[in-house]
Amino acid sequence: MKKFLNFVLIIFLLLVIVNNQEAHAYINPGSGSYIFQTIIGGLLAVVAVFKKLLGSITGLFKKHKDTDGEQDE
Amino acid sequence: MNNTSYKDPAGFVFEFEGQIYRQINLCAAEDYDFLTESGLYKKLTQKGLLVEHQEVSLSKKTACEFYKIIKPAQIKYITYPYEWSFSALKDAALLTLKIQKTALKHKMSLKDASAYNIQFCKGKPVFIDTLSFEKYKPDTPWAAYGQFCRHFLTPLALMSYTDIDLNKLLITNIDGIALETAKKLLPFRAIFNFGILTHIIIHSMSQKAYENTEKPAFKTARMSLFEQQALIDSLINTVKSLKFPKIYTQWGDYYKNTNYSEESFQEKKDIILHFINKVEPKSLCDLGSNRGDFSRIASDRNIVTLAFDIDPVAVEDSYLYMKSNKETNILPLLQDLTNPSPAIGFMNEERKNFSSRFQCDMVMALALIHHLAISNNLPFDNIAKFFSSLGKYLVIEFVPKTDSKVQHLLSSREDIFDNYDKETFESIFDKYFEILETINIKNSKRILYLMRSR
Repeated sequence: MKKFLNFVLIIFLLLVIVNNQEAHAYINPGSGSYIFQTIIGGLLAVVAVFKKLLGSITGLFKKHKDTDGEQDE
Repeated sequence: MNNTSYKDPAGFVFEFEGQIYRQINLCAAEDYDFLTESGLYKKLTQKGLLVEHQEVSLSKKTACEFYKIIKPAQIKYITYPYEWSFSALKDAALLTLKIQKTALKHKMSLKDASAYNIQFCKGKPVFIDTLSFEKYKPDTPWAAYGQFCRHFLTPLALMSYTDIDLNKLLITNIDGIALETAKKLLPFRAIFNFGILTHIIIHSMSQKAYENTEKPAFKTARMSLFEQQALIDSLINTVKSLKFPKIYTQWGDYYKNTNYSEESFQEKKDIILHFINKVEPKSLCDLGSNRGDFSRIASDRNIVTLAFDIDPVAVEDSYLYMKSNKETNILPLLQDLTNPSPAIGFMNEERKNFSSRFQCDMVMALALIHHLAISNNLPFDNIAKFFSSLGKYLVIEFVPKTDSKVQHLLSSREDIFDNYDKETFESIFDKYFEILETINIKNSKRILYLMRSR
């Protein structure tokens, strides 16, 4: 599921990049790095928030399990 | 002035009375002061991630932009990314990202992410460019993202997925391997690595898509701090996901197939120790070191040792051994001695060549002469001249024609080496060296020599 989501993000990313082409005189590969960075950064930030939320939810269960473990000892 | 320093208006590196200094220019004064004020310098140097420095005043003042001069902790041997093993390059990449992550927490950022900003010192990578730090401008992207990908990510991905020797592309591409080049060379299966797919392949497509734009993206692009931190985390995960490829190389199993019994192997070690104790060198270059078994005789005795080998598996193993044993006196490095690192960059002056960087007290060339003389047709005279240019003392092993390893080399080619014998070897080396001691290794046809340069 996570991998599938990654690939959906990637297709989206490709469409954004390719549809933004402009034709001008001087080659400037640096611009592509800046623009791509802002797009991928945004997407990765969303994933990071999602992971954090997921982590805190599973963390609750883990803590619960750990406490169980301690009780067993 | 250091040969690449002119590229940075913030300051430059220079040598004065054999010591390295860095001048900080007025235009960089604010960033330099903030490095200390923000607590970042203290934090990074305490952890050994950034080279320490002292502010000094020299009688020799330079240029009107002068603000301060600092003297960084001196690093004896400067090495380059194309000489590092896979894991060494990976560690250098992770150090750069760790520093950027820490810098962001102190409201600073790295303005460049060149692999040449890292050096290996006492078994660890250390960041050496004090002037790479600038104040973080809120909501701006990481200026060094593209450079990080070219200097670290593309070579690591190519080494991992395509060919372990592709780090050599860094010799011909001084500012890193272009994403477009990596995209063409990476196999299809690499796209299943999320980091490679995004940071190399789609990133490269983005560069292509925007290469003709006149809009200055570096001025207009916006990115929050949280987004940049997520980007750095993604790069860290990508670098960590890259593994040394499972390959077999010629020298990987060398010590399982040697011409030495256990007894004579130990005897060879004892003889080398005897030579080292006799000379007491402070630095040693082991040429053709393989996994560094013999290099460690020196490094274990606090001698600064560089262990060079052509084989990426052997050097990788030796590097990992160094790391796991926390060794501080040895550095395993990749080097093809028949084609040593050249001087590269503008006017061939930005990165120095092999011979000018690796001067040492003692050179060690064990079981190497037959590879140079027979496999590579190099005359004894040229070999002796090369060794004498590197250091004062030489420990060399002569492997005679009757040795099975030499016979193996000759089995696939015509024997045109009538002069490959002990007598010719000694008479030609005698032109460059005085032979101090000769010891025959028991139960072996091989001979060890200790020589001193004339």
